[in-house]
Amino acid sequence: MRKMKGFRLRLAQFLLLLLAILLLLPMVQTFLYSFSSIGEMKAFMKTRGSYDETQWMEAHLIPNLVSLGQYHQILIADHTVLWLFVNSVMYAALILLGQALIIPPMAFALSKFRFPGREGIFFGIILLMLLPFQVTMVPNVLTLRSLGLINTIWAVILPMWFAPFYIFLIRQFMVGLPNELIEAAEMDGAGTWSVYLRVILPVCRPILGAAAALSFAESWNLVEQPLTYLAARQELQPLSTMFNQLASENTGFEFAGAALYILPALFVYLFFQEDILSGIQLTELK
Amino acid sequence: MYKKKSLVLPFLLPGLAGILLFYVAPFFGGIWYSLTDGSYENAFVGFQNYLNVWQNPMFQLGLKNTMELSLICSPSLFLLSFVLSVLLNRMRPAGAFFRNSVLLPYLMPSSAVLIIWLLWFDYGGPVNRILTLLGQGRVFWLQGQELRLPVVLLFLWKNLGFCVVIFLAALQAIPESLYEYATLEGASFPRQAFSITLPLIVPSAFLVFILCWVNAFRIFKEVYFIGGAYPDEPLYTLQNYMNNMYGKLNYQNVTTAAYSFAVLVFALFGLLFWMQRRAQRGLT
Amino acid sequence: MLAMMLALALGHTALAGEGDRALAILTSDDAYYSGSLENVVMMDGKIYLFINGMNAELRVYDPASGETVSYDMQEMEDRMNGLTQDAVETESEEGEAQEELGLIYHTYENALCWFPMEGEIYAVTNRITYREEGNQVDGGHVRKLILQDGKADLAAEDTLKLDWEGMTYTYGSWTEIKYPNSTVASGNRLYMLTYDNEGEQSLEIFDLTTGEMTEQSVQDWNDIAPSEDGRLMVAQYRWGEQAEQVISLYDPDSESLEPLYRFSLENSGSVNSIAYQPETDTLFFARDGEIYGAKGGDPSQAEVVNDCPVSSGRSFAQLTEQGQMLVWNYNGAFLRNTDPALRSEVTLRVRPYTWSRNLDNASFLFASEHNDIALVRESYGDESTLLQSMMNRDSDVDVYLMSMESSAFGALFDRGFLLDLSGSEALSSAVDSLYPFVGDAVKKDGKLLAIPTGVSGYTMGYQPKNLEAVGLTAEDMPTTWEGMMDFLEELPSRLSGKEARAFELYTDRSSIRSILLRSLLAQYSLTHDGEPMNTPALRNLLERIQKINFDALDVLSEEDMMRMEEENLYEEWGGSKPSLLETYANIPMESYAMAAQPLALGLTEGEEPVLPLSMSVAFVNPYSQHPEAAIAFLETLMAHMDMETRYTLNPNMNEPVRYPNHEEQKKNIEKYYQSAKTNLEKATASGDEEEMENWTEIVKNYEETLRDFDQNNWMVSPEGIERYRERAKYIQIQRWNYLDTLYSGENGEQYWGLQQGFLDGTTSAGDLLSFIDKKVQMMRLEGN
Repeated sequence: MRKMKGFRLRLAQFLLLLLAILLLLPMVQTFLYSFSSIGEMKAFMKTRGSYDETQWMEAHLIPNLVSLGQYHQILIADHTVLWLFVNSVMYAALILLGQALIIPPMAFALSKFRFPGREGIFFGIILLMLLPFQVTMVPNVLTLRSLGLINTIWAVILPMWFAPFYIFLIRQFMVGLPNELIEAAEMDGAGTWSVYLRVILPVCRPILGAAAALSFAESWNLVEQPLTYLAARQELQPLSTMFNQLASENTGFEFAGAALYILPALFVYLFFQEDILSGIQLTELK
Repeated sequence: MYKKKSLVLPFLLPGLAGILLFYVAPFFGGIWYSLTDGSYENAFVGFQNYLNVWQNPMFQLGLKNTMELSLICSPSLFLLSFVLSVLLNRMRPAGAFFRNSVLLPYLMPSSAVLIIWLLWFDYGGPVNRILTLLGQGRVFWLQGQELRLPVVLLFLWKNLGFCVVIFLAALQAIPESLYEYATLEGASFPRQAFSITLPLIVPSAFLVFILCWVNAFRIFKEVYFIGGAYPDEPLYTLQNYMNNMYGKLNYQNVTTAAYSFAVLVFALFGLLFWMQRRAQRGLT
Repeated sequence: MLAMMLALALGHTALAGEGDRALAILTSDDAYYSGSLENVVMMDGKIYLFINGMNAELRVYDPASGETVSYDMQEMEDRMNGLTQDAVETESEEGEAQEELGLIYHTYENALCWFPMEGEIYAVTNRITYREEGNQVDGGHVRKLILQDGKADLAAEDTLKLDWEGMTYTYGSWTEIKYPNSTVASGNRLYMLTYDNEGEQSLEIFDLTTGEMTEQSVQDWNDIAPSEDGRLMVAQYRWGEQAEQVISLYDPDSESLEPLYRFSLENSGSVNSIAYQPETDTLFFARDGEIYGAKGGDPSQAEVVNDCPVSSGRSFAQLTEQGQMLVWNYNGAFLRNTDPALRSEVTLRVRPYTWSRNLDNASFLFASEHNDIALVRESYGDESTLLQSMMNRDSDVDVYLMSMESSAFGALFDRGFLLDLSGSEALSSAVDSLYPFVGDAVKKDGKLLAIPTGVSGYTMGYQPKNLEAVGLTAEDMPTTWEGMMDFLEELPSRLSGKEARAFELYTDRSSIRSILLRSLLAQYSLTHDGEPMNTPALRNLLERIQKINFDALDVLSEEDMMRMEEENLYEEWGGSKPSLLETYANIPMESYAMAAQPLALGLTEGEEPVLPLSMSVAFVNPYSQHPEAAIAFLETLMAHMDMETRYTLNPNMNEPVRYPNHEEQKKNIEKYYQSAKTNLEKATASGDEEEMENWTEIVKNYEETLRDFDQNNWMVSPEGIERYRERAKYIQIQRWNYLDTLYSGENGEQYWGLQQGFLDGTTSAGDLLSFIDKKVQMMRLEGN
């Protein structure tokens, strides 16, 4: 496509810049707010919800007094948030681990093998991808209970190991890999497992990176599953479910909590940036 | 392609077993649930539950709202991301920074951003300030019909990046030469867009469209945080209904509502799939 | 040899749970004056239980023989209280004291604590002499316990006199002693953990040979116990980042504290009855209704060994020579086996979600009657996991106690997740003998699903006794809500010139508005269930509530209340004038004769008034593995309903009840009266004007008290019963309704914000009611 030039370019750039600012502003604001003192934030949060026509909330971008008070409260004084944070990390790590071991092989099987029922299984996976959580939520409780997993962390983790969306995503990528790669390796005498490990996986690095990042985002954000399967064990809840409670209580340090909550996702993004982007590009989306 | 079936098994089985256990079995098990009456005795009642639920005014309200919200969100997201990606494609490499920042919101947990959203749309907040500067009156953003706007905006904010990236990828796959040739032939920009761009990105468009809908149905979380279990009427979604039923120990209604919804979704997907196939056949 | 074999054989064939026994149960259905267990001493293998109360006694239990001997302590107590001797005659030679503090009123002596020393038990007593203008304290008398002829008494002579000065402190002319929380005798010393009236703690150490005292200042100590090596075990609570209980060893000589065990309080109840058994190196403790044994003294390795009927026992317990654990608190004492092999096979788990007055009593009685069932009474739980447990078909909890107002209970009731109790004759007939509104509430389709365990409820009321002072009669009181609003408007003019107040002084505007609102809405939702609230009639009433003229009614604002308390203006502002209306009047039966009568108001002229009553119930988990045991427990609960609940729910309970020691109390007052008269005579004879005046006043007071004593001194007064029966016809049980869901759910914040706005006057009645209607309508349409 022709490159845009001159005035049009400037206009487009300006609009996009505006959009970019809007997109990033919430995060920037969260980080800025997290550096205000607790008292300041409490007072500020109190001003919301007022229906007084004559008053406005302050546009409070820069903290009056830069302070690490919020962080201190979260990390040192009151351990609740930190503990929830650790829980979230645990869930994300365990989920990703299991997914890494189970999903790529399955995607491999569905893309590079021919066997009866393959199309059927794949179609089923697409259907499952579209289901909202509530459809399987209640019967899942019975399954998990009979396996003795209710009220343990595995109730949340295990189902995620088989999440259909990632199977779909990776499979689509693998389908686009030229078969010559495999044939070449086979000619060198590699068995299927070898082919998988030494040829397929390295080539799939972009999509695996992308899937990992997306899965991390989802695991970090789990709400329904812990609420349903871990109702009795408050101490096992991840930060995502408890966050709302923290936020609604106007504790004054919810911004540091939010910042802490966003940070890992941010790191993951920065780390996997290239992978996400190139991985999606190379996926043949049929 | 491997042909030997026995080789497949070690790769396939673990995943397949898990899917059967945690997704397929509950899916079918849930059907049984929706056919019983859910008291302690748990009698079989056939389709009575379905009739009850479909006739329930709150279910209907939830369904209507979910559909409406999705109808607002998905096309908006689709169009917006398409336009953006087209723009960005024409602006590379300058668009690289933007491309990076647009994906960031997707990875951000929405509950963390929600607080900021609530601040922006507060009665005394910046959005209202801008409105008054423009000569309009203040709006009660956090109630009633008006709450839909912040919710939709939150949805767009979050999902824009992902869709843009997919579209961009598809757009960048189209060889430059095609366009050069068309320009030489005298085709105008809109003509090029429709004859070249659009057909070639149909598969990706399809994927994006599906994803938009799937995510739209998942809006519930944010609505719940803002509006509570019983939000104002225009925001009472199907998931509110299911969630409340769950809280009343009425799992029958939860599954009934869920399956009814699932059937709808499948029908929709089937329709789209069929359309996409036709479109693809027609265009190639 | 034979004995040992016999013992072994018996041990093997013994029933599970055998050996557990109740040593003292001091709860009762009436919960009044049933006595309290103040001290327990273990010496030479025997257990000495010191029971205070109306019939003070010392119970000595010998675990080896299984026998209990009871010694009367009441005589000794009466004597120590100066009731059986003329105290006036003693100590009037204290010239200086007489001058400064005036005449002696009375001298009391009481035993502060008991401790064993060299095979004998001693008490440390404290004597207080009350005079006109102050008192004197003479304490630290260590006297030996003498058991003879079925009576317990203290030796007349002190074995030792402790240096008591450090225990006393004065303010003004009053002398107080520091309150001893726990006492431990160890080695040659007596340790007392004390509090003064500012909450400062000290550890007093008395040398038992010389009586000398040294004092160490300590902080946040909960309890002390002797440890093997002559040191002290100290229990502390630590709040803060992580709530925990810490048990440490304290060396009094070096004043060093060495932590031994830590128990986290994050997700479990607190730990009590800690005891260490050196022979098996096991640490025992009780928590959440069960006794745990931790081998190697490591709490994280603890396993359940038995049930513990005593909730909130003392921090430290003792082990008998037979290895049983003695768990006790002021309410009861039990012996429990610590060998898990002896534990009963059947465990009954009771989870209360609400406080119930008769739960302690029923638990004790049940535990002592059913040795073959281990009754685990958990600490108060959080309802949020109940529905989940039902869905998961959990069977670990057998009996639940909760309020009928809870929405979780409503969900269970509607869907039938309660065990059918109709099979129990005892329960069915008991429920049938109560008011019909009870049966209607707990039965469904003819099946009995729950039994009542407690009642509560309050609304605005009035004082019948003060009607006269105000110039009104019972007929003048309003009978409808409109009438009530009119009444409040007219009241100021009716009260002008009279020595009376509209409301009690200790109330404020916000409280009055909110109780009126709350009662009105509760009543409306009971009687007009399903109808919208935003009606002109209701709006009108709410607006009138907003517009109540509090200035005219002389009701203070919150700032004024604070001022009154700080500047002590209670009397000045007419606090002791009789008041007509009471902000909070109890709806269940009030035994107190002077209690207020709740106002029963009809919503409109033709409508009958309704008084909503909150009831808590017990029911059995349908998935329970031990339904018979659970039903048996419910039968015990039902048979021992506490007094208030009994009178409130049973229409046939109409007998007023005297305090058990009514006659004795009267005799005592008679004695004081007589001795006061004697003093008056003496004063008249000596011609001392001032003294004559004083004693005349005192004699007059006693006369008044005696005259009204029979009429006023009731445990359950006839007036209380009569007033209750009058209002009982308006009572309906308040069950779970949509309003509760609105108050407590995620939309609760919105509601409370609106309600506060209404009470402050910034939100209109229409806005509040339409908000309620909208949300309730949604809930109702969803159906159940």
